[in-house]
Amino acid sequence: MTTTTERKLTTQKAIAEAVAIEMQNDESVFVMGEDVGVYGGIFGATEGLLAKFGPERIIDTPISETGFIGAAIGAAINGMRPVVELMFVDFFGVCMDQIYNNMAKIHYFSGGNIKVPVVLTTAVGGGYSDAGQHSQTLWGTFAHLPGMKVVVPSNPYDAKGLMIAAIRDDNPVVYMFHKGVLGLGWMTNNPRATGVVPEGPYEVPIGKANVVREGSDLTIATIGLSVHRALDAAEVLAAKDVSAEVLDLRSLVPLDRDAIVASVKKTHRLLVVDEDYHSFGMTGEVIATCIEGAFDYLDAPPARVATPDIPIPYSHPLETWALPSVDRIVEAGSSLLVTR
Amino acid sequence: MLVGLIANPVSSKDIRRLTGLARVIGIEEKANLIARLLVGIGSVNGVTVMSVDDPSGLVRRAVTLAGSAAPPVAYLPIEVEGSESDTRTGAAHLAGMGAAALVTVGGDGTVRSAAEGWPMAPLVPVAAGTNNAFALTDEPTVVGLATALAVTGAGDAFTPTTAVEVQTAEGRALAVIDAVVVRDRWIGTGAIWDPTQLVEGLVTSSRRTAVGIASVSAALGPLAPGHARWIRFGGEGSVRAVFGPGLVLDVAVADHTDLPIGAAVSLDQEAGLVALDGERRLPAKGGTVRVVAGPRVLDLERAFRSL
Amino acid sequence: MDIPKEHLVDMYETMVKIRRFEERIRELYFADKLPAFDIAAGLIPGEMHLAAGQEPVAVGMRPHLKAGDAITATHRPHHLAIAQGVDLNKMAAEIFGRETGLGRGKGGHMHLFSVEPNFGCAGIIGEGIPVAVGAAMAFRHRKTDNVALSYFGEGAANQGAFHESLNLAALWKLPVVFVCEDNSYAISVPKTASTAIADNSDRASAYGIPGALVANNDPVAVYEAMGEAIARARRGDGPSLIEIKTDRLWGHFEGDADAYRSDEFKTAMNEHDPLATFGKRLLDEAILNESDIASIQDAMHAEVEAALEFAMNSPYPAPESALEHVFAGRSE
Repeated sequence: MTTTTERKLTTQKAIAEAVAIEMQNDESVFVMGEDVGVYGGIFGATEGLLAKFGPERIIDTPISETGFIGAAIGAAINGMRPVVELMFVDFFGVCMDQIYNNMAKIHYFSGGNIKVPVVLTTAVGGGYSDAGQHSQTLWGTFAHLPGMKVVVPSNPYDAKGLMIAAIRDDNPVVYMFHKGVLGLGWMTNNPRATGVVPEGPYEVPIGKANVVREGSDLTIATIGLSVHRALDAAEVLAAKDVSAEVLDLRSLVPLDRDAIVASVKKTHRLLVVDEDYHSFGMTGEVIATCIEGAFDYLDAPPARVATPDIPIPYSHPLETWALPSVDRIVEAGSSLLVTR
Repeated sequence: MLVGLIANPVSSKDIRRLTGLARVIGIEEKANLIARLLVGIGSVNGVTVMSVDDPSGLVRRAVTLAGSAAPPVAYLPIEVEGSESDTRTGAAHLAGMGAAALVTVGGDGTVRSAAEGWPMAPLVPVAAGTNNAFALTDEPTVVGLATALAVTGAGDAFTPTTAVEVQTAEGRALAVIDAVVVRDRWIGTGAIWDPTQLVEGLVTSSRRTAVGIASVSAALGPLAPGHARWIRFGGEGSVRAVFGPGLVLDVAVADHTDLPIGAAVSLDQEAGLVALDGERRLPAKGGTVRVVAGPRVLDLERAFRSL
Repeated sequence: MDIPKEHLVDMYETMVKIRRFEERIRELYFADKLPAFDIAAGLIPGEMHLAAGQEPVAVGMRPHLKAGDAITATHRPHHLAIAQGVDLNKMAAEIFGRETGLGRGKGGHMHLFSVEPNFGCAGIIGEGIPVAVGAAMAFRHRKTDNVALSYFGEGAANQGAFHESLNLAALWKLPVVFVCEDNSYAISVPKTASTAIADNSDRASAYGIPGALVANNDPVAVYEAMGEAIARARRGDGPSLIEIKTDRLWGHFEGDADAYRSDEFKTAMNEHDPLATFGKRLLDEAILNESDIASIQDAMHAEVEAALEFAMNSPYPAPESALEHVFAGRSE
């Protein structure tokens, strides 16, 4: 028999449990998207919910992203709390107007009079040869546009807590779950995708980063699956006598700038790891934050490991080379320490 | 031989799509109907078509669809406004050009406008409207062939009808099926879907297969040729009529009388409108309605016998 | 259909109010931008899209509304907002960018949002159409008999959002009325150059819903059609598409030279000004007399003037307040 504190779930099941808890407690919460009902979500984010809540609250939609995301906005304005799924973040191109021009701006346009409590869930990330239109992360693009919160859980505990927080938030929250952290049986096995998840409701605050491994020689700031890579790299570095602190950002909007600065003030070195594209994105933002807040504390220029500015390639050796890997993190981390 | 063609792009689109089960006959379907009609006409040598060039390009689309099977089609050199006056003007022109037949594609209102422009027209009314109480609902290819045979063959394949002439302060108008006073004072969308609005009027048809006010008349019994039926609505009695597509209603009828061509009735009304062929149109005050000879309509069987 | 006199008079009054508002906004918009037009200058900066001539589309639905019904509109929203009863003072103040505006100056003329009545508009073509579908979902879920009305132009009917929304509303049988305001021009492009078929009401059957065409820019015709469509939606019979032929009397935006429409076209349009036509009909029918018309004009002009005064006398928002209201705080 497992006690409450020892129960383990995969990230995928943790997400589904979070949605179920909120739907149980709040009648205005409902789910909408392609294959979210009968299929339980292509990545299992809504597994089991149709049987529990029925087709009026778990709605399978046609392939009409503009239509159903716009509808989620209209429902949210009128007293509902929709959880609407964009199957792959890569599909945002067909519906981005509703997301960044409508969902993200109505609260502001109305001078704060109208709330749009939409949770937009979406699957992100590569590493399993799904090629250029099904492997992107793109959180840099979403985070860049004002008016929507952006969260990216890396583990089961955070996934459940952030989902509950997102549903309870009165703002639009883009909830991006990396396919590689879900613990899906049909993906490459990932031990870090399963973890202890308390039963019952709890929140992980949106806008707060988490030090998932303490260290003193450098800060590796990262998000999503790259947190797992960074943790693996930290073990390798530890064997080389380098103590790496891994900072899981968890949210990009709001970005926990204080946590970034505090960590760098302690370690004096920053490595940012991002599976999103190299230029004009998260790595640049985190480094700028570090320079603005901790310039005098740096013993080396900040470094970054990101996916280069290329469409994500299909062939396994190409993709493996492009996406941030443990080796690249170890190498970049080691180079930062050369000056010691 | 010349056959005139007038197609109405806006028939079968009004509010009766909401008040009953009337369906939309969209532009594509109308173009298809006309294409089939043209194929029928084109299958007989020696017939050319002169058409009103409707602003929706309906006839042009049909000509493209019909391809090489279409007869030669030319367009009237008149300014089109995109309103029902185009039908009237077009019909008058075609009369002047000596067209041997006038094909209309539309509803009862389209026929009415055509008849106003050419009162004794040899009509071939192809049904593309809501009620189609007057028009031919047969396959347009057959109708087209029959038309071509009628104009190139011997004998007269057209049957005379009765119409109603309406005289009001605003001028003279013609109705080919019915001219009825309604209580409503506003033209609005024009259509009629509520029989409790009917006051009294003249109906020229008693065909059992007709829809609309003609169906009310049909329920009262047959009507002799060359006559129209004066009906006063309301009161205690009622008849069951197909008032519109998908609408079977009990209509209150107080009394009725059959009147011959030449008979006239003064509309003793202070308010309300006269609806012509199912569309609210003219103020009723001070109006008169008279039974007159109407346009002629193609008889398909006779057309085929004129071979 | 027997139309109650109050409805007819109310529709006329509202038409007068809308026209007066649009005329005054136009005057004030240009007042301090000339001689050389500077779009950024003046009391009302930015773009301005006015609905003179399109009043019938708005007032014809007004008597059929009930509290809570949602309207989503476009970049040309004033006539609909006024017809639905949006607070005229706050609406004017928003257009003038003042702190007392509907959006505290943050939205402006193309982004007017009101909670009661339930009104929103969008600056992107087609953007509001799916939102109306969502409002209808909420009404159904909460078991109210409210309806959502989605207004858009004939240009928007070629946008993907239109097609997706009609399909969704039809599939789920939602209480939405889709209203296409056809003023024949999408900026400078006439419908004949943009749309493969002549009438957007034809498109309804592609989604399995009824579509009707209102061929005249006449408030009574709109009243009849919207009455049927709204009643249908309210009783749970699902969505419909109403296409209304209307007239945009002025240019697409204020400052538009409108050279793409011929003088004959514009003259003909102005000869059929619906405000004049409807007023004359009301006189002919002895619903109103000349003195009533004069009183209505005085009253409506005064109301518009009061709203403009309120706007012009309101303060601008403090500059740093630009940072506020990006996100809502937590309720409870």
